[in-house]
Amino acid sequence: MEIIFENVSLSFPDKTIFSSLNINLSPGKIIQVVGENGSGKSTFLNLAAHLIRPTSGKVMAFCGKKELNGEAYRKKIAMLSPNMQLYDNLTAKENLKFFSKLRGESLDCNEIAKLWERVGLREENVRHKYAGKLSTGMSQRVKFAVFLAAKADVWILDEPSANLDDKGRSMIIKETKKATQNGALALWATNDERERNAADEIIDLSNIDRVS
Amino acid sequence: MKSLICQTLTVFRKETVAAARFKGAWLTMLMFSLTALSLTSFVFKGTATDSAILSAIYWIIIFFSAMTSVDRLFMEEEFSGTIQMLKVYGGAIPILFGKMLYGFLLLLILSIIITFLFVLLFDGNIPLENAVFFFANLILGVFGLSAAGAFLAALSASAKVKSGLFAVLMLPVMLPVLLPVTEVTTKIFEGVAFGVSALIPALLYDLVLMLASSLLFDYIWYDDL
Repeated sequence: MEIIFENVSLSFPDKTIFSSLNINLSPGKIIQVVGENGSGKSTFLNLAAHLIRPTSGKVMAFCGKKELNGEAYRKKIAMLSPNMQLYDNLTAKENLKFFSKLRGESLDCNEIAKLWERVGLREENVRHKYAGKLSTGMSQRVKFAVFLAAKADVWILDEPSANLDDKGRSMIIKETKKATQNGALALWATNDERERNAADEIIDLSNIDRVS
Repeated sequence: MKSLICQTLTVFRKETVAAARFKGAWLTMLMFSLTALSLTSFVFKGTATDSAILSAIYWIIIFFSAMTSVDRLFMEEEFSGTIQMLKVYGGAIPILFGKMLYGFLLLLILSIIITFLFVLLFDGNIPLENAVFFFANLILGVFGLSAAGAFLAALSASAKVKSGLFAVLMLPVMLPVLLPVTEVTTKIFEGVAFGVSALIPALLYDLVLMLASSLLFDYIWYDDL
């Protein structure tokens, strides 16, 4: 999957976030989106996910030469963001199964167990526990399990290591590197210096210019 | 089509499980309808009264019972932050249909309870010989109210200015189904004979609503279309 920002501008009545942004995001890379608070990192990711529309210009997604839009594109993406929450009154397992089924993926017990293992959770600790009772770190890991279950080609991660310990941060970097080696495109918004080392490219929204 | 049905049922099951664990929404509906029924029963003291008034009271109770719960269908998703998970991992139509189905069945169960209590409290005043017509009319009316409610709730949740939008849109959107079903109920209460054609306006409303929702909901749910 390749994402192209073509002359993208986004403004609100009181503020211009982007003006004539031209960026090509190629597959097989981890692309870090950095910038000071309020520079538009999350907005950039939402534009890439087609969750918001630019004021002018286009955000195009290509699978080979074919442009994807709407549901066809959304089925290719997975997203992890602080704005996305699990259902508090469903268990971790119910949340995982629910969001996977919405994607058309029916997970069996073995697949669920493997996903818990990948995100560093013990099944007995989360199986029957309501998401609302999980610690913020565990909740983030469950959200990442939902993310992994989507088997997406475009990974959109907004501060994915927030609330995670060092092991959790390493796990996310490892999984993201593995996915990009298999051809996925990973967009990762962060200001964490330790995570910048994992990036193949950096987009600095503080000065908009693209820095390799 | 198969995946649409499967995903719709997945959303419906999630709503049911969540409602079974958080009883606030349907208990509010139940308590509202019981309070309204008790009050009207005390006021009329079970004495015979005009069929049109009885029919209006009956549908007002169902209408406001629906309104106490349907606006939550999407608002809670918006406030709790689960709406973006739905937008990323789910399709617009199965989410809407799943929530409509849940809202419909919840309101239908409540309406059946209301109907039996209504008949009991106004004993002797309501000839219900035409039970099949009565329940067909009830199903059409309840479906229209819950489906329109779910659609408006989604519209309000997606709108940048939420305050009062649901209440403002409710009247013009729901009046076209409330008027025919109330009229049919009045005729049934009066014991007046009528044909199946009397149910057609409510049926058409439901069909048009479903068609319009299917065509428009993607545009409401996602900003990029």
